[in-house]
Amino acid sequence: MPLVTRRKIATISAPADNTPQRVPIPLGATLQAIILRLTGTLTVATTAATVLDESPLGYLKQIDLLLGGSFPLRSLDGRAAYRRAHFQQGTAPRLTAPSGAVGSSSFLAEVPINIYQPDLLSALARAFWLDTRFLNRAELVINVGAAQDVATPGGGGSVSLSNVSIDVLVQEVVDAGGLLSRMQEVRAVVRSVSSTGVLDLDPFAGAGVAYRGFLIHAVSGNADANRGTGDDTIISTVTLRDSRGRRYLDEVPWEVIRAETKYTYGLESLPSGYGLVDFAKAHTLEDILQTRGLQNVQMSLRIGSAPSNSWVQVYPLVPILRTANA
Amino acid sequence: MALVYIYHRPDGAVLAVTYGRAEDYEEYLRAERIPFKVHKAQDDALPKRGDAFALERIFVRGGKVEVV
Repeated sequence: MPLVTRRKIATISAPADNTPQRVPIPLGATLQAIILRLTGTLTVATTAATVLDESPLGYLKQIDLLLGGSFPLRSLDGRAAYRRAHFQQGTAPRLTAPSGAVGSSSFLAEVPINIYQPDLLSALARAFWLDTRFLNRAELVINVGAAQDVATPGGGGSVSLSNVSIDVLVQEVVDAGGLLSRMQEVRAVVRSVSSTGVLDLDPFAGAGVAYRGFLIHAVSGNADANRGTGDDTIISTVTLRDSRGRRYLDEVPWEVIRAETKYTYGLESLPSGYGLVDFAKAHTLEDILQTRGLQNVQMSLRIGSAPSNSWVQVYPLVPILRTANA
Repeated sequence: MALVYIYHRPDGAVLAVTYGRAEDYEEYLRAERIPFKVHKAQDDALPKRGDAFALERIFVRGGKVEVV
């Protein structure tokens, strides 16, 4: 394994609420990962607040890694980006939530955006490094939220943020690179769930797109999906079929998918609301879903319960493979 | 002047300053295995920035509050 250097390329200090923060990624090196380190202080006044699920990750409302100005290699909310790193690395990165009690408390979150694929075996992990010499532009766009994305104020009370800072660090590989494969991870579906029954999601593209898997995140309790609480009662089963009718998953119970996620990635526990339909369970790419000759792939979710403000979010993991003779 | 609970790490760095005991927060810190201690103090002895306590300026070492 070649040497990997780590350096801080930017610090975003006291960003204005609900604004995109743009960080150009220096070109010329081979990127292994980008790490965001969010710190700040939440102040709760008058009455106690409710700290949101996975807080303060909701403050990172959207993280986009754009290549060449338009290709999104990553387009994830902070919560999903954190969990991708959690699952792939087998342990949760640092996260300290604030307190909802009246007063001030600090919060901290480290969100590694792994460009390589650390769970894949042997050299496969490295096949996803990003050699920026082949790019004319790479930019990280972080859409930050506001105090209400960290905690919900109690009746008559208020919440505010201070000292917010986001360090952006890069892990760069020394003297290695090339034209390599890419794993695109994008929040493709944010669907409101209003009733029980079968929910057919819009089809995912076929015609040659490969799928390593689909991360699913079900939340409830807030009109903004980013602020919802993970909920395992919403989805009862998952079905995945292609346009020719083959079923890759047929009414597979949500708890089975969650249990598979837990043992595939060797996790101590799995946070509520998350499940990963993963084809590459052996941590190789031999068993991914190839859609050559297929029009599309469709996911249907059987909704077991629909508490108020329920949401389902789906993140396809799409490897763009480059073979040796490509 | 009011009594506040200072939640701090064993090295003295402050995690939170709350008016009254924050039992939910204590539960969270225990569940996440974040080591902490609690110290009680009067709020007027602590530095503030606007409405927020300036947590990064407060340390609790040897059972005493230090303001830097």
